[in-house]
Amino acid sequence: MLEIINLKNEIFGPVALEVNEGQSIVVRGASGSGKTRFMRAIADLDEASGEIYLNGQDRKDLSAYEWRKRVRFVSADSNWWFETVEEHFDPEFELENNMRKLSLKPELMNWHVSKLSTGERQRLAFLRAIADEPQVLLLDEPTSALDENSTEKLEQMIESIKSNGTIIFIASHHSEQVKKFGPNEIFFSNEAVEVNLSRPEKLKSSIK
Amino acid sequence: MDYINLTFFDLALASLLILINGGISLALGLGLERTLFINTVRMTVQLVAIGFVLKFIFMQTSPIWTLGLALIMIALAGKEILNRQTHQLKGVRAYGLGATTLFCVGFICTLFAIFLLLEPEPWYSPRYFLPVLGMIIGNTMTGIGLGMETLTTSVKRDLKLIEDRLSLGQPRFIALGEHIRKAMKTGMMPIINAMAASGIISLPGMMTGQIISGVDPIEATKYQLMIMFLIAGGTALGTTGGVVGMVYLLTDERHRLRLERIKS
Repeated sequence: MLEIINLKNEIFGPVALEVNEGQSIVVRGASGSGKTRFMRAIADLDEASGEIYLNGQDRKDLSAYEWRKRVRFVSADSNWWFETVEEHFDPEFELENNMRKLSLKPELMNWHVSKLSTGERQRLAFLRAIADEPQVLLLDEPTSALDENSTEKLEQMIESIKSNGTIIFIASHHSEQVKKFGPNEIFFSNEAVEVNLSRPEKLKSSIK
Repeated sequence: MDYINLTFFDLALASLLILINGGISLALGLGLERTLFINTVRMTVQLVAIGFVLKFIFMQTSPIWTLGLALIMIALAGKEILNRQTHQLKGVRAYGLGATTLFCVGFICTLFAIFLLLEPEPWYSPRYFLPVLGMIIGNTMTGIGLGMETLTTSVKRDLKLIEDRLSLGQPRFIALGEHIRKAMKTGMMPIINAMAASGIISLPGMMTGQIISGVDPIEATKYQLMIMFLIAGGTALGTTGGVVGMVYLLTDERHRLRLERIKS
């Protein structure tokens, strides 16, 4: 269970909520309303006051990198530091198999990263993010560069990770996707943060 | 030791060569004559002043005067490191890092030379202490400055890439690994290249000075080699200190990039 208590910084909040294993939360709101900042703050990439517990463990008791091994933020555009795709993955990860599931040609893994299309990079960045099985995934518009078919494949993969117990946050503008990963949602507007949850007894809401 | 004393007339004659410089600037419209004039005067005043200061300090032979001047030299060299940074940090951090690194490296290397190699009597004899320290900090400040500059510039450019690596759970020294290595290399290249050039392309200034003042060329060579080893070691230490320190200044204890600490 992920427990967020009064998470707040100069852009958003305070936000309080509890999410159970295998649940997904849609993060909605206009561009610039704080969706990305909120998810980055959960991963401790941006400073924010408040407390966060994962399965009862206080984030403060873990080093930042141990926390990010468990709580993973995936930005909409990815950056790569080695030359080929394969070098970014642990050899133990079933890269080829997972690439097929996202309709990516397996030979891409030996390619120079600069030769990949935006959509290919986005799917590979998703695989890179799930390779070491984080417990919480914070996805910032994960299908923004994908066509309908690839979007569907990626959504299926998110669903299957979710059913294995991973907590999913997904920022999205697509109404189809919102429906799929709803009904729990956090809505960011300039005035307030609204938390709408299907089971209010489990999940606290908060208003600025 | 015998050497030919320069008269003031000799110096005045040599200074006429600056006029050629000025003449070229005027003829080609380079607009350098004002800067040239100011810098010529500045250099003359600075050198004459340091000559008198050194003469005074050499007469004292007191640890306080020697160490006092050493600290002033380090403080000024620290400012020089700061001036060479295109992306300076806010507050005193950047100056503090450069000056502290220089202080540690300067003293480690100078005391090493004084106590283990030269062993002058007394150890604070300014004739040995100050020139050795001056050579070391004058050269290592280039490495420190270049290392810091390269790191800041490349981290600023690759901000998103580094954040991707941090969000995948890499600690800051891994996420910044390539940038650190590049900055270290850039800081150390000048001295490594200078080693290859010295003796063939250039005769180092100190060696030239010693030979003119009557020192046997082989003795002068030994001194020059010692200084080069000290500078090379100092540059490696200093560049490491500057770059590692800069990593700490550009990140925080939660392994986040803090580029807002750079002046915009």
